[in-house]
Amino acid sequence: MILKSITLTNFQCYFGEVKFEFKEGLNLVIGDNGAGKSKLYDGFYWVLYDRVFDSMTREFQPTGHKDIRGNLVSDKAKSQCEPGGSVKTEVEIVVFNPQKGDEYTLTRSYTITKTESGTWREPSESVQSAFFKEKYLNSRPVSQADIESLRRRILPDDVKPYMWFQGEQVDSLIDFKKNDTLTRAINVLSDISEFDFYEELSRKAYETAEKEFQRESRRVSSNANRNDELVSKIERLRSEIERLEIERILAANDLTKAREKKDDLLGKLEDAQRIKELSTKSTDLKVRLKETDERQNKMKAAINKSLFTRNWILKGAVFLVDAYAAKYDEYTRIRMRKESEQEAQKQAMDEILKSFRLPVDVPEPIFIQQMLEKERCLVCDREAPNGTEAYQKIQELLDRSKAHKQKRKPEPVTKNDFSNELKSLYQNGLQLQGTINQADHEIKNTLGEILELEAKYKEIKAELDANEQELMDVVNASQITSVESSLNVVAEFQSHHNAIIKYEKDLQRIEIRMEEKSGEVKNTEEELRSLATGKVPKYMEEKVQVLADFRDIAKSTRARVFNRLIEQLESEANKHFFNMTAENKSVRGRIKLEKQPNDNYMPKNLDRDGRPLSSINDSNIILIKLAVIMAIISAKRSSPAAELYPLISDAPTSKFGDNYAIGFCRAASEVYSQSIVISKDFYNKPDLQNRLFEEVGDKLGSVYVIEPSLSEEEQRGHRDELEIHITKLR
Amino acid sequence: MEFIKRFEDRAPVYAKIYREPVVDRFTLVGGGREDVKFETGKYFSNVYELYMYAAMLGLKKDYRLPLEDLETQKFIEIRAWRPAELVRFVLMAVIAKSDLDLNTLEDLEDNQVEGKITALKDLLEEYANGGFDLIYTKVKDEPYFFESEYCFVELLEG
Repeated sequence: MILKSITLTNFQCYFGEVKFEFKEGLNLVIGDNGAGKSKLYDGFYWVLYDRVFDSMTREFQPTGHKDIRGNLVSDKAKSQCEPGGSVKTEVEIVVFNPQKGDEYTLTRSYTITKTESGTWREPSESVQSAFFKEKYLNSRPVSQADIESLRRRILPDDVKPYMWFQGEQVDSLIDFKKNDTLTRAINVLSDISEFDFYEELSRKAYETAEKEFQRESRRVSSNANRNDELVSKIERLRSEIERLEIERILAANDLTKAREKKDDLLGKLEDAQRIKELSTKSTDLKVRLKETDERQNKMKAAINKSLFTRNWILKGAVFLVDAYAAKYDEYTRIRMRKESEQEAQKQAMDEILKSFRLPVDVPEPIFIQQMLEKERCLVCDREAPNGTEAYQKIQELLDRSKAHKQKRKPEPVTKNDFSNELKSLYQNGLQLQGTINQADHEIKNTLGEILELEAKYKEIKAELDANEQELMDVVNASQITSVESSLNVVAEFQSHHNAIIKYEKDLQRIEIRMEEKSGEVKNTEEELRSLATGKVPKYMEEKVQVLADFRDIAKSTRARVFNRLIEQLESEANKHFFNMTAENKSVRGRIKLEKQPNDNYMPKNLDRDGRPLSSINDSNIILIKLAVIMAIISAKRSSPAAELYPLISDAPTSKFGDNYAIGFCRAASEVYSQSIVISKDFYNKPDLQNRLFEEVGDKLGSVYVIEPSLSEEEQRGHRDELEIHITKLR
Repeated sequence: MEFIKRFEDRAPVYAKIYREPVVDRFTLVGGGREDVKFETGKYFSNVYELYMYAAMLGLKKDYRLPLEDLETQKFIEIRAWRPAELVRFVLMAVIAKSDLDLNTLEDLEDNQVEGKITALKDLLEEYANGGFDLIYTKVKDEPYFFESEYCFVELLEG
């Protein structure tokens, strides 16, 4: 089947009637973001399946879905509709069968009506119609009942996932995590199910023949009871073997899963270890950075405190000490002079006192006072009347005593004595003078230390930045989503490794037991045979043997056919993989479809020596998947898929570089008789377009460029002016 | 009579115009933790620290400005200032810069001594006012100067 054309009328962003015509070979529709590429893919999908992709739910939704309905219709068409009028959206595809020359036209339409109040009536269903035109004959409508079978002829459901897909579906289509992905694909695209049928049939035939043989054996047995015992023992053993087989399958499945998980992590392990190292280093650097910062801040904070604690405030203030010293010096000299003068006066007084005969206070003042009162000298017992010289002499003795007492308490030289306080100020100044002289030195040292810490901080910071950058680079380049998760990878890897050892042991144990049980069955069967007195007819024995062989052949044939398909698939996948990556040096390795313990196959990316590649980026993974998808179609030559159905893919290479995009298109042109690739990769890249045209050569079909009338930004507020312009390049 | 005690009983003032741009900006009023001080750019724990700094700045630069009719702000008495040896140094420096005759001072009557002590306090205020003026001028002319932790050490230079 070749898709001849698609005509979109008022479908989503396509205003009016827009028609694309396609040919055999590679057809390209090129457009930037927001140009209507996905809507074109929607058009194909809607006309066949009545569904479009809903960006809200990320799923294909039917026309009746609340988010779809009116949104199917062009906003511009709706804006031009008068109240009471209606707008119809329609998609029509024309499909051509080159072998027979038949042509089918399939149309789906959906009409909404504008009410007088300006709201829209949006029905929940679309209308589908089809016409069939045989070569040289007029076209005739296809009944609704036949439309469904026509649709399946255009694209069978089992083939659909591998023929029509969007870039973002590739991941789930070939899901490496689901180990039956390839088994499923092979079953779909091959006649392997016929072998399943033969395998089952041969098994049942063998069992029937064996039962018949057993019945006959019992009949000719010498000991019927023992015969029954042995038969039931054999049955018991077989049911135990069956149970063990289930156990074996489960263990094999567990082993496969554990190996898959371990393999998954293998690629991450090296990165995880590096991430762990870098992360530890970052933590260490952060601690050092914090310490340095805190020390620096502490020192900086202490600078101003030092103005007072280390007297830096007095920096350069020695001259003030000197000035005070000068003033204090003058003060002390004057004061000392005053004190000297007073001292001189005092000494003169002392001289006077020394001229008396008797020592001071002899006689004691109370006796002198009595003598004055009695006016008589009690020493010489003579009269000394008041006013006489004798009285005066006695009086002088009393004065001399008072004068002596006064001598003990010298007169202050000034009214106030601040000398001690002024002296303390002087001494305080002198004491601080030492620290003032040190201030310059201390400040210089402290600033030097801070500068050193600043330099050290910068050095650690630069090292930390570089380390963090490397850490991010490793995280981005690896499949590990975050630094945190990397820390678990090593532990997780070890846990899967341990699980593998356990499951392998389990498997071994089960297989040994199965062998033991099989041996027991064999021995029991022999004993059973030994009981026979008569002879079981030869034909019965031969029948059992022939049917056992038939059963084994059916089983091994199925396995051989399946393995051959796998080999073909692998070889084809590698062909496409190399083709797509031919111009990209960064892609290494080859695809290996590896058999798992549970008999399923998984695609792996191995290096030249057969070791799994440790660092595969997203592009590589998608490429492997695309290669496998192509291989599913191309592996089995008898499959009509590649010949009969067109590939339609929207943005399959959106995650790739230019070389990949060309590689994919070239490979698609070789695998599929018709492919329609909707892509952004070639938009505004005439050189790349020309390269593609040259490389694909005569397998190039039509090439269109689609462009919106409004930029993506303008579209936001003016959807009702939006339309898509198409230009046919080839 | 105790001369220093009488001096320390006095509470000097500063011009209110410096309160917001200088005092409030650089002082964590009422003290506080060093790291908080540092983070908020408040380099002085108390107003008296800034005041002593301003006075020393004025004294060192020999720059004093009478407060004259400026509206003033009183704060805590000198006796509460710390550390004591620096407070004494400031007093010593003010005496050194004053025209006070120490010998004459001792012969004065109490009320006259009080007058002289007040004159010394006034002189301290003038030098502090000079210091505040220098700081404020710097704030206006070079606002980024005070973003450096060393600013107040640097200001003492020269």
